[in-house]
Amino acid sequence: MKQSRFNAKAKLLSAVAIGAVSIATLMPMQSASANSEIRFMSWAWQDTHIAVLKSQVAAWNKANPSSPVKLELVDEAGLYTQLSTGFLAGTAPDVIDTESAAALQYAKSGYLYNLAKDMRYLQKEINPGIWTTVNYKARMFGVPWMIEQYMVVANVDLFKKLGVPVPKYTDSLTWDELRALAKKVTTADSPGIGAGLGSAAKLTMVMGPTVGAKYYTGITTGRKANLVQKAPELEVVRNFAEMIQVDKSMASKYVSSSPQTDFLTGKLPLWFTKNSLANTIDLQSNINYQYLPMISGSGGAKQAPTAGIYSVSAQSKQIKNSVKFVKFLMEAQNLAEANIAVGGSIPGTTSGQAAVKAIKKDANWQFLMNQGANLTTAPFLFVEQWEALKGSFQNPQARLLYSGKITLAEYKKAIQDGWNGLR
Amino acid sequence: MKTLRVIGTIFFTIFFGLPLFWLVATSLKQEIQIGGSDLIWFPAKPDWANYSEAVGRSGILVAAWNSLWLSTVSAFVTTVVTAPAAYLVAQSRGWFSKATTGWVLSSQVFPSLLTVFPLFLIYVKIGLFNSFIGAIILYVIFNLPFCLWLQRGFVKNVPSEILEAGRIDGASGLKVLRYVVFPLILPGSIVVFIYAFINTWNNFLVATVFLQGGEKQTLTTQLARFIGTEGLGLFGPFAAATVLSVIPTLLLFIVLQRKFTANLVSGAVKS
Repeated sequence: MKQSRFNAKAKLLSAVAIGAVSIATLMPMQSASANSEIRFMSWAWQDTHIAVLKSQVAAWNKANPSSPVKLELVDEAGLYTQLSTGFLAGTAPDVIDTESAAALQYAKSGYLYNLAKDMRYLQKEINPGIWTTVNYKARMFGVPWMIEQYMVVANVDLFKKLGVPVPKYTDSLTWDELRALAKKVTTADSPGIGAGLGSAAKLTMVMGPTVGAKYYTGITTGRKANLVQKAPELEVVRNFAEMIQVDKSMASKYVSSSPQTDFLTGKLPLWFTKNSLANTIDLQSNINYQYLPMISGSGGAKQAPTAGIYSVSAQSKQIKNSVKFVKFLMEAQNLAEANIAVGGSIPGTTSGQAAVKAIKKDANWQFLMNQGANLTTAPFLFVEQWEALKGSFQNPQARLLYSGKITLAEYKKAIQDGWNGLR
Repeated sequence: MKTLRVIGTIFFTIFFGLPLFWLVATSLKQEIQIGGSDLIWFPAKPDWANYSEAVGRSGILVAAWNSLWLSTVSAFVTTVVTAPAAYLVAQSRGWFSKATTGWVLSSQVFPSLLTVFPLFLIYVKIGLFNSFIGAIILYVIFNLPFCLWLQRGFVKNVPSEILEAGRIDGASGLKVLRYVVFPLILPGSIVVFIYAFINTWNNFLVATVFLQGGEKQTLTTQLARFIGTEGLGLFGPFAAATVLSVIPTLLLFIVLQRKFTANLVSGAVKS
């Protein structure tokens, strides 16, 4: 009897609890984001970069006490999760430090404020190719603060030891010359050149314009783009594959391990890498290094990188102050500090590049900053299926190619099949 | 048979121990020794700099504290809620028991990612977004179904004669629960607490979606920030911070495991 009375009580309590939760769920309450603070979300992860952002935010807050900025640091995956949920619920941060290719999805949905009018004063300072990269259907969804190119860096002492002269900054360097050079510095102990080949699809496509690769034709801003895989589009991939299998100047081990350590420990003569690793070489080793001239093929020396951008949420209640804060971040000195802290990326504006040159007098840094003109719009950037094709097909198939498990023809077929499946 | 058992134990130890060993070894390597093509099992000169860098990283101690108390409170609430609920489900007959167990089971079919967006929208609407209380409610909700099933098994093992004896002695249902059932299912409560604590401690999804903003981050979201873009990252400090993050759960397990075994024996009854 008592047992059944207890069960009845428990059932009643459960019903009350469920009811309370249901009522609480339906009660409209004030949103959490209704304050005057500007929320600035960044995926900065290096300590040096975080320190610079903190000091810039502190400087802003001191000068603008009525519109304080709060820096929120998140990891890369967390950034996009928080943006996706935030835009949906109206709680997205006001200013976002993100990457142009990834931000495009939010720009297409109209979540990012059109900065075109506000940033017009910077247009003459920003490379036209990069300017196009951060615009979608005449709306500027972000202002580029950092650009990363791919470069080849040489261990000067190792070259001396091998009796091979390092090409000067002013020389030219074609793909064939690079391959010949890599062969020359290959020894029994070490391959001549290393590149991180685990996820190298972006690298090969950023370098594509140097050989006149187009990758896509048709309307590349929608789902109707056509994939192109002719000789130029396969040339960079072919070069890497032949360096491994024909020239034997690159090791297939770099499909699963980074050449960074081999270079920083003085074993590897040449390292194909991003420009933002200059600081890594400076800080982590005593390597006497020099950048090789930019690789120039039938299409010239221009590369098609994506850009690190500052965007403003279209949902922000403080768009005016947020834009003002972005303008502050885009000031030459602030850009220089941030790009040096990142490791040696190129500031988005010419004044930012000049500011880095004024701080970093070293010849390698001067050469790095001179590459701001060698840029063009990424031909793949606006193609909707690009990210999926890259992640699901280009990277894994390239790994198989570089490991000698498939031929270039098989690679080409697999990419075409993958593309057909995605359309 | 004994040889087979030894081989099995060795395999088991290697399978679970090797990643842990590799993590500790990585935490003691210099950045330059990590990720290279030369295999270094353990650095000849262990470098403790990664630990100081991990601890010194902005926000990590606050995040560790947030994780600790959030996990403790969530595990406690889960344990407290689970015991009576499991008793009720185990003892009830008829539609209520069937409906409850069926509902709990079916809730496990959906991946938690599926519920995140609707929950997020609800949370923003009712003002629980970016609040610790909101996060605790979610942690408890996510822990509850499995813990309920776990605890239900322990309650079912309590002989009905003991419960009957309590009732014959004039104890109400609540008293039976308080003085008879709770002590007997203490091992189950400990298991539930450990499970809920570890599950909350390791949870990334709730922390990253529902606790935005620097001062509310937990250890899992802070650990993710050691990894940068395109495969780059501070792998040494990341490994060191991960090693440190394992310590509280390890300690909890060591402390409660003894209690668990002791209670398991003392709670044993003959029907």
